[in-house]
Amino acid sequence: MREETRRFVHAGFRRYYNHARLKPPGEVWMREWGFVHFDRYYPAKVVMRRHKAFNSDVELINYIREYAPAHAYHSAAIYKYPAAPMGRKEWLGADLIFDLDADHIVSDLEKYSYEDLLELVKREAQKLIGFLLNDFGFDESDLELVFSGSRGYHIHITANSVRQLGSRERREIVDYMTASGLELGAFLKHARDGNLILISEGWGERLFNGLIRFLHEIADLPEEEAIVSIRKATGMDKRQAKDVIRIARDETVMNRIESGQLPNFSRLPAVWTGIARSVTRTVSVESADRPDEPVTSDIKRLIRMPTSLHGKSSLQVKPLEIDAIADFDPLKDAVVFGDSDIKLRVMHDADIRLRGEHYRLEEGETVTLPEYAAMYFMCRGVAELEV
Amino acid sequence: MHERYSYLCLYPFLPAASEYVKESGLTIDHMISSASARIRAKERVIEAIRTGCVQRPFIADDMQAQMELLSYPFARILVSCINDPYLVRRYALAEAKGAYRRIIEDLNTGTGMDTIHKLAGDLGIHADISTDHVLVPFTDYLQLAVNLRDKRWKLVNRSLVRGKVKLNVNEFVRLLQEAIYGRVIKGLPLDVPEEICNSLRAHIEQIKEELARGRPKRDEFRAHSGADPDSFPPCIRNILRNLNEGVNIPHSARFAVTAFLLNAGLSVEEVIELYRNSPDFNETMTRYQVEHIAGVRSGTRYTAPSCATMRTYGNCVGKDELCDRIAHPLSYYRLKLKRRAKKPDS
Repeated sequence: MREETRRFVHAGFRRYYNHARLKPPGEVWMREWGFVHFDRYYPAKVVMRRHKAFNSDVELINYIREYAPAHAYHSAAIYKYPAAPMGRKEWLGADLIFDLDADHIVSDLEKYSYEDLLELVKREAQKLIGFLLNDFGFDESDLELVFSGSRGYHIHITANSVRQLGSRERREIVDYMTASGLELGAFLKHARDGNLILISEGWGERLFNGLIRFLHEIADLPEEEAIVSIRKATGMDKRQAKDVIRIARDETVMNRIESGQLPNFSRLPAVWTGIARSVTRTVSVESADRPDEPVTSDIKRLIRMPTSLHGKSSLQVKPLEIDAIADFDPLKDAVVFGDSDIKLRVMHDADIRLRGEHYRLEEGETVTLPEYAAMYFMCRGVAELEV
Repeated sequence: MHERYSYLCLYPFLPAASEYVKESGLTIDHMISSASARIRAKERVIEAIRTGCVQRPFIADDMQAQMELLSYPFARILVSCINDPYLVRRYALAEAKGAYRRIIEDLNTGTGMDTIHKLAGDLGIHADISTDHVLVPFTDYLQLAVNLRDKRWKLVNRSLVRGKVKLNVNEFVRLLQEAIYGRVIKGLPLDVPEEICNSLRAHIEQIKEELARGRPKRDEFRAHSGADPDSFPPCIRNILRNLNEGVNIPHSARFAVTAFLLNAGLSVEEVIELYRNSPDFNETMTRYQVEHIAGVRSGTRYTAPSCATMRTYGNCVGKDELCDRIAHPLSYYRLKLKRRAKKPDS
């Protein structure tokens, strides 16, 4: 990023911060803050200034207005001494924060467009919200949903009941969302008549509904297709698959299954677990097979401050209502800059759809774009201000 | 006999019990001069070392109830004077187990539900208790169940509806045991003035003897199968250190270290020895599990988890530069052995 470009982007951020209604988190004074500034090293060398603390909302907002940072973060945790070095802060508790990012969800990022990634991650966020409201019993008002300004969503829960949870307890919540360690057997009870009863609560309910849906789908398919479909979903052999089809097509058996009683196949112990495995895959919150998890159990991490700007996209870290997520379009709704003409020189090929308009840039060309698109490309590092 | 009194003397770790002691005007001096309470306190600790469970006695009268009640803070003082992390954990676990067994007995004789209600309240657990099940807010549940390693305790395997975990009554009592363990171990070891410890020297010596007898050798881990512990990766060394110190380690770490050591050439017997320091050591269970991982029964021997898996479960600890070159703890070991063979004096 050339100096003129950096100055221009910085000025844009400053204008935003001077007028925006910033929404600091609760207990500002007990949180650690971290910032990346548009200093002369930015963005070649990103220096995170951590361990800052503010006594009040006003002090924080004044600081942000003065520096207009490229990135602004606060701790999920609250501390007795937030500005002290890590070992001496005295941890008092931490918000429960879920951080869903596209690169935790798919492992082959290049294959998707930015828009597609945002759609994928939105779907995972909706599943997560479903878990939080139904299983975990939170009210919508307990959840603060935020678009991350880049490729994901954050959910903050600040209720007192979760603040004291340690990282192992949080890890259990993560495992719940991702179905890690889920065992069908935990929800099966042996009835006196030799059948199995599926307890339809918690994950048991999801497994139950998935099972019924799966069997109905199978029943409606021609035999050969059904076999293929079952084997693909469960990895069973042909003979086992045929047994499943027989069940799915038998109305009496299906009625019993729908009332929660599963025939106990001594010969086919794999049937139910196989189906359960396939159900689990579709309804759990996705976490690509990698160690960094989709939601966090780190109780000392920093998270982007809602209502700040994301320095690598110029998009707003935007809070939204839970029921607004379905219609939320970050590439429209998180755009904050205006549309005066800005002239750019393109350094790398790039494209994006913003506010419904498709912008495609080719390396080497000079283009005039509305400010919001120009800011996006400059922040991405694919274009420089033409002076 | 006072009903409240007979309840408190069975569960002397409750805040109400220490208040009772305070209100009755009994001081440390009283306790020290009360020979019967002192002896009962020593018994508590010795029973903990020997059997891992402090049995609740039959309480005949107020005198005995008072002695029982006083012996608990006294036992804490004894444990604190010895100040050994293994003993602290062993003792706390034994107190919790004793309470657990008593509650289960009460359940069988029909008075248990009452006790459960009272204990939940006194231990500050938010629970909705009925005769066929108990509902616990998931936050309370997580804090209580986090050390329970069996998969059925994982939140994902529980009935969780609108924030409440549904448990049967026995399961809830098991969680009470966890809460009691937490309560007993809290604050231990206490900061006991030296002159008090000195005045208890005779008891302390007896306990120490018992401790030396009951506990296996706690020398640094040495393998006899020709394995070289100094070449183990830092993650495995860390788990071994914890085992040696009697720290209760998560299931994933137990699996990792067991599979690693078996693959590194240790025998089943040698691996079992490593677990003897666990506060909840149970030889039959440990043998079963180690043999299972070794493939004694099934014929398939498990391999140790990869670095990625170790990271996932938070078991990748103390990473060094050699770790950057490998993706599996066993590769680390092989590489290190090779390097050492080249440089015999390093």
